[in-house]
Amino acid sequence: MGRYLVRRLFQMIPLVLGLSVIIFLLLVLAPGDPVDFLIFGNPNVRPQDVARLKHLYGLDQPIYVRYFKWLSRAAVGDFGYSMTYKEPVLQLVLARVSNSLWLTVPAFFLALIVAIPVGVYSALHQYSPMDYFATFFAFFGVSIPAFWFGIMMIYFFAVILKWLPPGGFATPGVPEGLPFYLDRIRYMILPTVVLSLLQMAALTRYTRSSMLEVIRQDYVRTARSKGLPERVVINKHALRNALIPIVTILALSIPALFAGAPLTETVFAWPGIGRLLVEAVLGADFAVAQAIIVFLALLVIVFNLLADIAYALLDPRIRYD
Amino acid sequence: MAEPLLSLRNLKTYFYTDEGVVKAVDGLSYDLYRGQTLGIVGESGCGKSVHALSIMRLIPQPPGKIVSGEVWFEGRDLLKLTEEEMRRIRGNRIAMIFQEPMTSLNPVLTIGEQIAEAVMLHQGLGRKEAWDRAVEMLEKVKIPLARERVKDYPHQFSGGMRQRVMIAMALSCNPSILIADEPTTALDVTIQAQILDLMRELQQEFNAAIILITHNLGVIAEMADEVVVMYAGKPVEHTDVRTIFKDPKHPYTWGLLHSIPRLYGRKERLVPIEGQPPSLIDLPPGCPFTPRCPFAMEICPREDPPDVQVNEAHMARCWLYTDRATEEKKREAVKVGLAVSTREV
Amino acid sequence: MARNAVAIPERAVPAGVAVGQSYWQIAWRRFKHHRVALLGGAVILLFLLLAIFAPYLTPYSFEQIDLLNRKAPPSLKHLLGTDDLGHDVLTRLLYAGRISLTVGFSAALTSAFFGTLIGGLAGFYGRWLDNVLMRITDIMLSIPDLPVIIILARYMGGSVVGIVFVLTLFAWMGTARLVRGEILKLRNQDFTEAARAMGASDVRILVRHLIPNALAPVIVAATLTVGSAILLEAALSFLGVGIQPPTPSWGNMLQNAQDFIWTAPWLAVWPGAMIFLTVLCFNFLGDGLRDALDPRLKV
Repeated sequence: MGRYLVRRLFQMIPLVLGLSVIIFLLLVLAPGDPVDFLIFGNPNVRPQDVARLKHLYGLDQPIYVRYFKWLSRAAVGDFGYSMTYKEPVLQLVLARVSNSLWLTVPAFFLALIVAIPVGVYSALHQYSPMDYFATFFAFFGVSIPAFWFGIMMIYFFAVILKWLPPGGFATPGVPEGLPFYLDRIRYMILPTVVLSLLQMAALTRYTRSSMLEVIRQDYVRTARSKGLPERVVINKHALRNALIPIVTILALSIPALFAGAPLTETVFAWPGIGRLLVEAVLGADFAVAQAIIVFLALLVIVFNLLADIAYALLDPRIRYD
Repeated sequence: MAEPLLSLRNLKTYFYTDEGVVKAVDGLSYDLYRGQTLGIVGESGCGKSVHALSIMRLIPQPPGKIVSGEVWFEGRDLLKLTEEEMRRIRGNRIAMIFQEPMTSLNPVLTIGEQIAEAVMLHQGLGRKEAWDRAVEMLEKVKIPLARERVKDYPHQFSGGMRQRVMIAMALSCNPSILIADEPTTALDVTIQAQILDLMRELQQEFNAAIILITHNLGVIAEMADEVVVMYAGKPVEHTDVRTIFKDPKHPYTWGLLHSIPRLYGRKERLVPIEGQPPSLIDLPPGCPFTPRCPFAMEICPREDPPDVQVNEAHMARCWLYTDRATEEKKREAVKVGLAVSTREV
Repeated sequence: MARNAVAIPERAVPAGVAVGQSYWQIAWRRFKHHRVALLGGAVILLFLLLAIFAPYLTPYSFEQIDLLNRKAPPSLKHLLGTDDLGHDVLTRLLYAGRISLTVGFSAALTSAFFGTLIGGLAGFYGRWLDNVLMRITDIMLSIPDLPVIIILARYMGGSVVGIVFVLTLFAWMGTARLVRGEILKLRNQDFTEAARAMGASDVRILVRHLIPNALAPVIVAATLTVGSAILLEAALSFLGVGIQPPTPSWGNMLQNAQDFIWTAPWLAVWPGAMIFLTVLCFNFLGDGLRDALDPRLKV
């Protein structure tokens, strides 16, 4: 297993380099760099000012020099200073990340506890009414615009029923301790459901197809031929195998949840990283936006690695390689 | 002879697919006695594997269904047992090994776990005793360093070794019947011989009856006491192993015998049977072998042939041995039959 | 050993399919049985017609403002009511459909084109080119696309062409992988060898022989891409970095709707419902096409 992990670590190198190059090219070199943006439509800017500004930001240097400068600064967490928020970008982003965790972590577990049982049941009862329902639910989940679903949830649960707040993060004046957390939960429910939906739908599909694949396998027939009760055949022999690819998908769903956050957090006015991204982009605060993308890229890398580790732990064919 | 251990009576297993009803097994009967090896031989898709899964009641349902018949075992009709009662027979009184040793073992569980779980379930042994039993069984199937290897996973074993593990697992609860579905087909020739030797040896020791399913007449010759030849879901010939090679009666069996390549001695050209087995969906009336049969007569495509007892211990399901056969075809058949029986095996 | 074990009695052609029918005829027969996909196709057709004939279906223009009737609930005069500025919602919905469908189809076509090109090159030339292109594909697939698209869309300044460009940038990978896989399968088959033996050039083999045979997965992927592109465009426009008002898009119609959810909730219902229905129908259609054209692709 050690050798496997070392190999996987080496295989991560192209991913890390590739991700950083592509992100650099997309965001830093994109048509209209920050200086162009700043001066766009401003008739008072003279060409020599542009040149001076570009020189000031190092934009007149060769691409590879800029790439390495950008990478080495990013490596030590130096993303500059936010023009709108008046604080260091790193500090700002980290604070917002912790707010986002309030949604992404519960959304992850919600997706997990719904999708896996439903997917397994669906596979075991293929073409049953419940299977059709789960299939339709999956189509529903991947087709519905998350922001609209969010607005409809707000309309139903906040406007009509008045059960839950329509958005926000906390009720002002709620004391610390238990009341604080109970209050927070009320705010979390709707956005968590909305954020979770897409992953839940996708995960249900994966679980179903993985399980369908496994229950066709010869070793499941062998388990039945030994006279094991169906419960043992499914839980011990089938599920353990079906979960191996699912765990990988699960690990990668964490970055995906963060990627979906801009919409959910905007709809529910949740002060997390997703909403920060939208605000930064609308306010042309591209240093903040870039830092968020780098953070997401890091998540992708870390969870890819975790997926590999999980895979190795679950599959003896790799563990004893 | 003594009471049969297992009696199949008119077993019919159909699959209901979108394209139609597949009559995979369509009226199979035989008796199996203690310590006996019964060979079931036929081409792929003739229903031999489905019949085995029907005995075990492991037919995926839907689309499959055992539509009729009886399977008598130890005084009970297995087809009438509850699922719970049947479970107590599977792997315990009747065990099965499969064709693909590479995929028949669970890749994420140790060999020991996979043997021990059946032992714990059926014999009521504790974990420790069950694992000891697993080691003992691995020793019996001649796996070196059994005490170490019991903790290994399937991928750490070769194909032949895995089939040994399957045999160990199947025999671990001391079943009275072992159903072996193409147990050597996926293995190299040299390994095949070792596995067959092992099976024979253990059959002696455990006094189990074996239902050996194969398309390989070489394996039949080496292992079987009695043989049922199947075609299109039906038994076409049933007799003892000597007779099947020395005095076969059914034209399909002649065809099969023609197509055995010789392992030893003079190389003979492989003569496969012309044509393909019929689709089992919407089988036309009459003998299903008619289109491929060189002896086909006017009656053959019209009416299903009866089970003809050529003699007391020899059944052939063919019009040739009835008074409906034409004299000319009878003469031809006697000639071919004579040629088959005098060739050197 | 008896090697007479001929074919498993499985029919080479499914029952009910006469021999001699072309691949596309067979696919069509299979597709006809996929009721949900047929329904999806019909709804899409309807929406296309509504979008094309929008000017004839409504007495208003999409920029026309009825100042006296702002945030009016549905009435005979304004079937779906009016928005905060007094636009007729139904009119804007129809015109927005033009934009959303245009963006969806354009992004699907361009990404099908580039995906086929990249997948075709990778599969056909193999070696280092394949390695490099597939690495890039993998990395593009691992990038969390929505956040990057949001930033790039802002750079594009809300033009339709710009949005299509950004969406294409993140939508070609699936097609590329599928095409590469098909080409790898086809590359060493007899008809390729025959064409080569007859002196056909690489480009000719690729364009005339290989890509047409890899068409089925491209069609399926493109259909699904239309749906996801419409979804992404709507998201961008909702966030304010996509299609800019006064040009209506289903996404930007929702932008203000949330603010009026207490006073004019109908404003939020229709645009979202249109997006949802359209995307759902494309997903149904894609699923049906996959079953009909290439059942092996079924996930």
